[in-house]
Amino acid sequence: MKKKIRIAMIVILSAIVWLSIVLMVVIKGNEYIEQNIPIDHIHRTICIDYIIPVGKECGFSIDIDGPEKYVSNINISTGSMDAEPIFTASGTNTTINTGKLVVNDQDIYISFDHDLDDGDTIIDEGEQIKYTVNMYSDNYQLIKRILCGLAVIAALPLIALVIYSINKNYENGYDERQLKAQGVAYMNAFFVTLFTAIVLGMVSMIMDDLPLTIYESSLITFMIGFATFVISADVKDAYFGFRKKRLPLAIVFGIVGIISLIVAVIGFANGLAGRSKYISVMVVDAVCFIAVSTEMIIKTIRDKKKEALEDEES
Amino acid sequence: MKNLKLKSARAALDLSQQDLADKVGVSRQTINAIEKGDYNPTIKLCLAICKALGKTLDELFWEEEI
Repeated sequence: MKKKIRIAMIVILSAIVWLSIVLMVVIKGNEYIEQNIPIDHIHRTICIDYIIPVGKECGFSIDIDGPEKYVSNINISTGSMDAEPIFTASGTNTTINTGKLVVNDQDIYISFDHDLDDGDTIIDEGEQIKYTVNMYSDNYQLIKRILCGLAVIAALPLIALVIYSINKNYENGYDERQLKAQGVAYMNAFFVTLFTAIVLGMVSMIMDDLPLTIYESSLITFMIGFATFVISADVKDAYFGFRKKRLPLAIVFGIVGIISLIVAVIGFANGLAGRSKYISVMVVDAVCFIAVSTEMIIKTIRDKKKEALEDEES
Repeated sequence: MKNLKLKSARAALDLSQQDLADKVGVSRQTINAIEKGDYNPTIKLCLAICKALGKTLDELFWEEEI
C-alpha cells in the first residue's frame, strides 16, 4: 500500500512538474511590453510569441507617448507580419484599445510606424516614442486561476507528505554507503550546475541575441543539475526514488521526456524555433528526462544480471 | 582487499547477499561492496553484520598482518 502511495506521489509530482512547465508557456496573460522606439527607425514590428493564441480572444491597450508631431500607425496581424491586419489604428499621444480580437493563427504581430503629421520627411532628432503595450485575455482566466489555486492547494500537503515520509524512513530508506554516495552525487550536481550557469552566463555575454531569458537559463541549469544528481547517485547504487521496482519510475521519466520532445518537435515544425524560447527549455527537459530514464533502465537490467551472477558465485 | 571471511561466513549460513542485506538493513550492493573491499563499513554496520552471522568483529573484519 505504501509503495502504491509512493508511486502515486511520484507520478503526481512528475505530472505537476511537467504541467507547470507547459502551463507556464501556454497560459501567460496580462503581459506588459514597454519599448522605446527611436524616431529614425521608421518601422518596427514586435512579435508576441509567448502564447499559443489559436482560437483565443485577446486584446491590447497601447499607450503612445511621444512628440506631438509624430502620428503612430498601429497594425496588428496574426500568422505573419505581412498578413492582412486584424486591427488598424492611428494616433498621437493617446491610448488605443483594440477590444477583443479573435486570433486564428500562430503568433501576434504588432507593427508600429510613424510619420510627421505635415507629411515631411522624418529627421533623426534623437527623439523617441514610447509604446506601452498591455495584453489582456479574459478567456480561460477563471479556469486558469482555479487550476493554479488547485495546483498550489494540492502541492502543499503533497510536498509536506513527501518530506514527512522521507524523514520518517530516512534510516531505512538509504544505508550508510548510499548516503555517502549521494553526498558525492550532490557535489557532482553542484559543480555541474555551477559550470552550466557560468557557461550560459558567458555565452549570453558573448552572443547578444541568445534566445534565452534568465528564467529559462535557470530552468535549464536546474534540470541539468538535477539530472546529474539522479544519474550520479544511481550509478553508485544510491538509487533515486525506489530501491526496488525502479522500472515504473524510469518509465515515468521516459514518458515525460518523450512528451517534452514531442512538444518541442511540434514547436519546431510550426516554425516557432528562435522566437518561442520555451522550446529550448523543453529540449533540455526532454534530453535530461530521457537520459535519466535510459540510465535507470540500463542499470536495472545490468543489476539483475549482476545479482544473478553474484548469487551463483556465493 | 576482498573480505573473504565475510563471504565464507555468509555462505556457511547459506545466506545470499540479499538475505544478509535484509537482516542488517542495508542494500545488497552494500554487502557486495564490503565483500569486494570497495567499501569500508562503519562500526555500527560491522556490529550488525557480526550479530547477523553470529561472529565477532575479529573473526570477520580483523586483517592479519603479512
